[in-house]
Formats: sequence, C-alpha cells, structure tokens
Amino acid sequence: MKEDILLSVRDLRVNFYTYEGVVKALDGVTFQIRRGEAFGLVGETGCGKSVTASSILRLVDKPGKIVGGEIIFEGENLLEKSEEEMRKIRGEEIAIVFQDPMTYLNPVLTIGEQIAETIMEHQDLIKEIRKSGKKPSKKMLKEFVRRKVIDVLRMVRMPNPEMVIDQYPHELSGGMRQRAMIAMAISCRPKLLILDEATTFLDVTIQRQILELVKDLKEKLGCALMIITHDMGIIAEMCDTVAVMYAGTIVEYAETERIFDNPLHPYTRGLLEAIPLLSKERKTLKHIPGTIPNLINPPSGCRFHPRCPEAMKICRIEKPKLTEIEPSHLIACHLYNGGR
Amino acid sequence: MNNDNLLRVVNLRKYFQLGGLFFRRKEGYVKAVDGVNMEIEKGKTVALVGESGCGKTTLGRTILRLIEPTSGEIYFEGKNILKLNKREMMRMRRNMQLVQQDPQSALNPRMTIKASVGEPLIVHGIAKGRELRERVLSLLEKVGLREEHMNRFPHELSGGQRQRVCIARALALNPKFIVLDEPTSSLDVSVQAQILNLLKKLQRELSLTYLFISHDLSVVRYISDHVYVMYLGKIVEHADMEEIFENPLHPYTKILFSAVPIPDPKLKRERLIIKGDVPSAINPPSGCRFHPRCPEAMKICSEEEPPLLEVRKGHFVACHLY
Amino acid sequence: MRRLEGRFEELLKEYHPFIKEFRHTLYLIRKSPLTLLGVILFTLFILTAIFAPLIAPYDPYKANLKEAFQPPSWRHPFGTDEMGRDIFSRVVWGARISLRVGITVVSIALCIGTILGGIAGYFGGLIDEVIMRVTDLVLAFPSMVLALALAAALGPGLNNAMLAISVTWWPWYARLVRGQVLSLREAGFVEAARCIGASSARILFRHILPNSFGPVIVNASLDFGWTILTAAALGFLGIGAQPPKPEWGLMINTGRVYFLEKPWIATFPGLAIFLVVLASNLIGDGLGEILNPRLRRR
Repeated sequence: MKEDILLSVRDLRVNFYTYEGVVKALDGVTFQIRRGEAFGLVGETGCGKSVTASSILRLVDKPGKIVGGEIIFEGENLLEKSEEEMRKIRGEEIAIVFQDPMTYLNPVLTIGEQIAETIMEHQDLIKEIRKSGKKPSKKMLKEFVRRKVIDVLRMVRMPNPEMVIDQYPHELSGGMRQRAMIAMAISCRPKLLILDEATTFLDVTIQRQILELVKDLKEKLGCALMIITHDMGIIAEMCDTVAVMYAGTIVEYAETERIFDNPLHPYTRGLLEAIPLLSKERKTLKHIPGTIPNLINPPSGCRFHPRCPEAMKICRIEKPKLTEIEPSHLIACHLYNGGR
Repeated sequence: MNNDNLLRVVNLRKYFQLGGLFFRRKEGYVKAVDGVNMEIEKGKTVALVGESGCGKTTLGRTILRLIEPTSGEIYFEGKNILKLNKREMMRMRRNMQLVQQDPQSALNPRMTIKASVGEPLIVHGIAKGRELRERVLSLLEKVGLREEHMNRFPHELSGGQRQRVCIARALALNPKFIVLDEPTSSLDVSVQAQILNLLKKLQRELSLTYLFISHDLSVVRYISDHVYVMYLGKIVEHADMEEIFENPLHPYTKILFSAVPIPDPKLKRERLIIKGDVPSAINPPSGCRFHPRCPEAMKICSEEEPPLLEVRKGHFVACHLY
Repeated sequence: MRRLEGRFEELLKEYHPFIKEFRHTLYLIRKSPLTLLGVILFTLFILTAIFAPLIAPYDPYKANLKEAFQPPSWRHPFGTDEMGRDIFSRVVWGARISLRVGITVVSIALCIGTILGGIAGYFGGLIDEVIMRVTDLVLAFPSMVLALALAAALGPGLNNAMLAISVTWWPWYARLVRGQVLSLREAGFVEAARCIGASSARILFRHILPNSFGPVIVNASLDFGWTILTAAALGFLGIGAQPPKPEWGLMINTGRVYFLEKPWIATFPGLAIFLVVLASNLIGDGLGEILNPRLRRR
C-alpha cells in the first residue's frame, strides 16, 4: 500500500506576516495523493486551497512562509530541497495550471516559444536526437522542438496547432489559452498535475471541453491530478478522493462517493445543502450562517464552531484532530471523537 | 398581449461602433443585442441565461437605459421609457434598479456604508439628517446587516456583506423592478445560498420583479419562473422554468444544460460537448448564429435566420429543427 | 449639555472610520524611514517659513557694508553677502517665498488640470479631443523654455514667474486626472450612481475625483519641489524674483560671481533648495506607496 503514495502532505503550516498580524493561512494540513489518482481539494475563498498548492511547489511568496510540516513527494521531503532541485521538480515532476492563464502567459512570446522553453529547460533534446541516429544541428534542434510543441498542442486538442504555435496569447480565446497552459504543464509528462481553479473563469461549455480533456489526459499520461476548486459538481465528476478544507484546516477527507453519500462533518453537510441543484425540484436552500472567519484571530478550538449548528462546549476549547472514524474516512470533529 | 406585464421590450438593438472619433472603420459594429423581444410579468423572476459575450449584460443595462439602445422600444408599465426626457427618466429610475456582479467595485471605496446606501435618498431629496440615518438603518436591517456596519468602509466587510449593502442601496428608492446581474457569481456557495434566499424573501415581502442575469444554470433553476436563453445577441429559446429544464429544445440550450457539472458522483451522464468557441459578435455567422457549432446543423441553417416561434404552449424556439 | 454630548458622540462615531484610515496612514508613514525623513525636513521648512521673523536674527533687507563678505561665524552662521546682509536670515525669509511659490503654483496647476482633465475624461468625445489637443500643444514645448519665454514676456517679478510656471504645469495634471477618470468611469460604483439618477456633477465630484486623488496627491508633492526649483532657476536667470528679495535662486545668482573666493554666499541658499526638493521627492515617493490601495492592506 505504501509504495503507491505519490505525495503526502503532513501537518503543513503556512503563516503570512501582515500589517494586521500573523495570518495562519494553513494550520496543519494533512492529506495524501496516490499514483494516478484524482484528488480534489474543495473549499471556499480564503480557506487555503491555493496556498496549499503553492506550498507543494514551494512558491509561497514573501509575506508568507512555510513554518512547519512536511511535503513528501516520491519519498523525499520537498521542504528540504534546494532551490535548484525544486526548479527541476517544478514542471518535470509536478506541474500546475492556474485560474487566470493571462497572468502566467508571457504576452510578448508566442505560444510555441513558451512551450518550447519549458521543453528545452527540462529535456535533453540533443541526446534524444543523437539517439535517433542523426547529427544534431541548430536548425534540426529547432525543427525537432517545433514538432514536439505541435505534438503537445495536439494532445490538448488545440484547434489548428500549426497556426496557434505562432500566435500570441492575446490572439487566443480564454479556453484556448487554458489549453495552452495545460499543454505547457504536460509537456514534460509530470507525475502530478495540479489544477488550481483552472476552469473557474471559463464558460460552462468551454469548462466542459477542458474537463473532458483533463480526464483523457489523465488516462493517457497516467499522472495523478490534484483538482482545487470550489465547485462540488467538478469534484463529483472528476475526483476519486476529496479533502474538504475550512479556514486553513482539512475537516473531512474520504472517497468522493462517501463524502456525497454520507457527509459527516457539519461543514461538509452545510456546503452540500447550500448548492442549488439542476436536477432536483426546488426547496429552500439551507445556508451556513455567518461568514468565513478572520484568520488573524481565528476562532478558538474548532475554527468552524461559531457557524456550526451542532457546536458543543468542547468545540470552543479544543481543536479536533483529523481522525479515521471509518476505514479511509477521516474527520476533524468532536462529534465523532473516538467513534460514535 | 398580457396585461400583467411590468416590462415589455420590443425589437431592442444595441450596436457598438468600433474605432475612435476620427478614425472609424467602415462596418465596424459589435451587435451586442440584436433584435430582442422580452416580456416580464409583475412579481416574477425572469432569468436571462447565456455565456460570456452573448450580450446579456448589455441587454440588462440597456433595459435600465444605462446604455442607450440603437433602436427598439422598452415599455415599463405601458410607458416607453426611451421617449422620456432627462428629468422624467430620473423619476423613472426610482422604479428600476440594478445589483451588479462584483460588490467590491460596486461600492465607492471612499464612502462609508451609510453614505453609499443613503445616496439614492439624498439624490432624490427623500431624506436627510436623522431621518436619513433611520432609513438607512432600516434598509440595512432588511438585508440582514446591523447598525455597527453603518460606519464602516466597504473593504472592512466580507463579499457577502458587501452584496447585501448593494441590495440595500438598490432597495432604497422602493423600486418595482430590479436587474440582478450575476449577483452571486463572485460569492462562495454558502454565502451564495444566503443571498439567494434573501432575494427570494425580499421579493415576497416587497412584491418585486426581477430580471436575473446569470450563467449558472443551477442558480437559475433555483430562483427563476421564466427563462430566456441568449446566444450572440439573440434570444434562441424561452419558456417557463419547469418547461425549459424538463424539455429543452434548442441544441444550444441542450448543450448548455448538459455541460453543468452535477454534484452527484454516481450520476454518469451522456455528455454533449460543443465544438469551438463563441464566435465574435463583430462578424456573426450567417443564418442561424449557432450553426458553426451546432451538432444538428442543416444546410438551411447557414442560409436563413430562424425566427422565434411558439413550438409548444408558451415555449418559443428559434431553430430550423422545429 | 447632555444632548450636546450625545450629538458629539454620534459625530465621533460617524467620523470614526475616517479617523481610523488616517491613523493607518500615519502608521504606514512611520514604517517607512525615508518618508519620515521627508516629512521631518518638510515640517522644518514650513515651520521656518511661518516663524521666519522669530528665527531670523537680522533684517534680511538691511544692508551693512561694514559687515560685507563675512565668512560663517557665530554672529553670522551662514556668513554675509556683498551688502553685508546676514545670509542665514535671508535663507530663513526665503523659505517664505519658496513656500508661497510651491503652494500657489501647485494649487493653480492642480485646479486647472483637475477640472479640465476631469471634464475631458468624463464627457469624452469632442470636448475631450479639444482639451487634450490644447494640453498636447502646451506639453510640446519644453516646460523650462516655455516658462522662461512667458516670464520674460510678462516682465520680471515673482508673481509673473509663478503665473508662467503654472501655465506650463497644469497639462501634466490634466493628463493624469483624465487617465484616472477614464478608468474610473467604467467602475461599478459609477454605474450604480448613474442608476440611482445621480447628476453628472455629483458623479464626477463625489465618486470619480475623490478616487482619482491618490496619484494626483503624489504628483503634487513631487511637483512641489520641482516648482520651487524652477522658480529659483527663473530667479537665478534674473526673470523671477527681483532684488533685493531674499529669493534662493536670486541669492545664488549674486553669490555666483564670488563663488571661488566666498563660496558660502551661494552654497547655503543652494543647500536650502536641495533640502526642500529632496523632502518633497521623498514624501512623493513615500505617498505613492502608502496611497496605493493594492499595497495599503497586506
């Protein structure tokens, strides 16, 4: 069982040091991703989903700092790697696609140039050309890379890849840009592909195209997926396991079907009941009262207790631990402490 | 003609001209709204659904006359508001209000909540001083905020609270009709449910009529009575909510509905996947504007524009299939 | 009395958010040492200008040929000039003139620029074209040359110099404000204001201009130094303030002749100009960061 775990995050803690005080953005995040698995991380704005992703890639920016925990990828702790080693891991082993492609694509380089850059940085193409029995020349390398880029663009089903390769980001539509981002991410066949709200800005029909594409790519490349989203629908469709995040902690972690069939944490239950459904007849939506807490002065004990309909005395005092109450169903809630 | 209509839009067009003042290109128009007819019944919620760039936002703004239409008529309680002069229009604005998508930008960052919510009352000379304060307070209470929020700046509130403030401002003039332009799309699910329930409650209590613009079909299903589907400046289908969700007819509507991810892992649906992207509204495709992406396109679709016809009772579709 | 107290408390509550914002600004200034240095220098400059009669030990105009060309000493900390006037006193009094120049020129430029830029940006179309082409026309001349020509045409004198500088300065503000207004015109709260029926004037003055003031203030505090420098330059060239006014540029001009043997005559007024321009630049740069809403809350 142990060997097929690709990524294991344990008790990850990240703080942001701001004017108003220390924001404890991640307060002990723990989860695992198996090889080839689709893992979903779901939660609302500011719950720390994206910070988790950037921590895995060690991309947490300045006022923020990883202050504790470990991130074990392929048996090695990423937090102990040098910056040089991390650069190799980013892209080659773990790749990420962000919400807004426009901020990550360079506006003055063509799509082809940007993908080629990633490929050349991480792959020894000259060796590859030699292997095929030809002499590497500059012109040849150029053609070789171009062929590779077009292959990758084909793989993400980019319409007219021969044309798109010479286009600039602003000439593409939102959906095509996101395809280009995915192409860049998979160009080095990563073992883990992180999608950080990758379809949030897109229209439903385009989102559908991208989701189907990602499903196919997962099959083809055999990579693990980490899908970060706020949309329970996407989770239900794409993921094998889910972790629900609230205010910097994982509150529930289980297989997808289990979470939807039998949500145990009051927050998960509230979240599922708050979604208007396309299929069912209408009834008044239940909503979770109150708002997401301020993480500078987070509520004591369980961070959800001020909004929790089932809060008890202990919830205010002690932070519940993430415990396995049923096989592979983990919950951080005092209701289930030590089994029912 | 139905007499219960609060608002009737007749053949409304809005073309935006491309280019600057001196260097206008010939035939450079964006046909954002191209011949839209619409009826909104009193006390009902009519949803306007479509993807980005289909012109739904422009249509909403044009109905409020925040954008002057190129041609067409808009009747509010039987009066064509496009014929009103400036002063009459100002009085008319009391009846029709807007709630925007992004509450962050919808509030002036340098004005306190009290000033923002009270502004309509000051502009229309309805209240000032102590009375203004009391009015603002009661408006805030109506949307679930408290006195302590009055003297705060927008950045001190959460997204959901800001949207409540925007709703309070829209209610200040006791309007009959509110255009809700994606009021929950920038909010989280748990907060979205709060706002949707609030909107429903307010509609009941104040007998409001809503035009609910959205791309989120599950939200539309939850809140609306009647649904208009828009594609590239045109209405392609409209019917009562139950009817359209049970029995969508236009290929675009079908694809749109099937694209929504459903939060039920056991449900494995047959997916309709659409080809390509939304074409530009500058040079829309000939004939039916959807034909290049339509899985059921026929020869006639590229040649002739299908009219909007009543195919079943109260169910209108613009498609050559019917 | 109690009613009055209640009223006061209510007012305090109402203004509490503004006070809080102001306190936050003060905090940010304190956090940035260079801005703080600028503020201190600038405060010193203003205090000097206000209390000039109390600070200056001598009459800045009174000649005393017996004391001419004294090097700095305890009696005359900055020395004396060719007429035996105390340079320290003259520099202190000069602060008044410079302050006046800075305030007048910047306010005139700011008023004209804000109004014209605001109108151009808000109404657009033909009005915009006309205003902006005039702006371009003025900006097409190098501002120093234009100021020189205007000042020369109007005739020497401090007031004419100020007028000349103002005329060359407002287009910058017009451009800046127009850009701000153009981007704010599309803001959600402006649309909301239109929707409730607010008048154009209200939208422009209540919603758009207050929100475009950040960059304008930054520019104004930078320009404060520049206008003083320009005025001094005009004074130096003889078409600004006229003798015997203790204007810094003019003082440098008179000191220029004796610079090699008696450097103190030109050095101290030069140092004063340097410090004021430095202070205004430090404040401008600091405010640029402090007033930037994106950097403000982190």
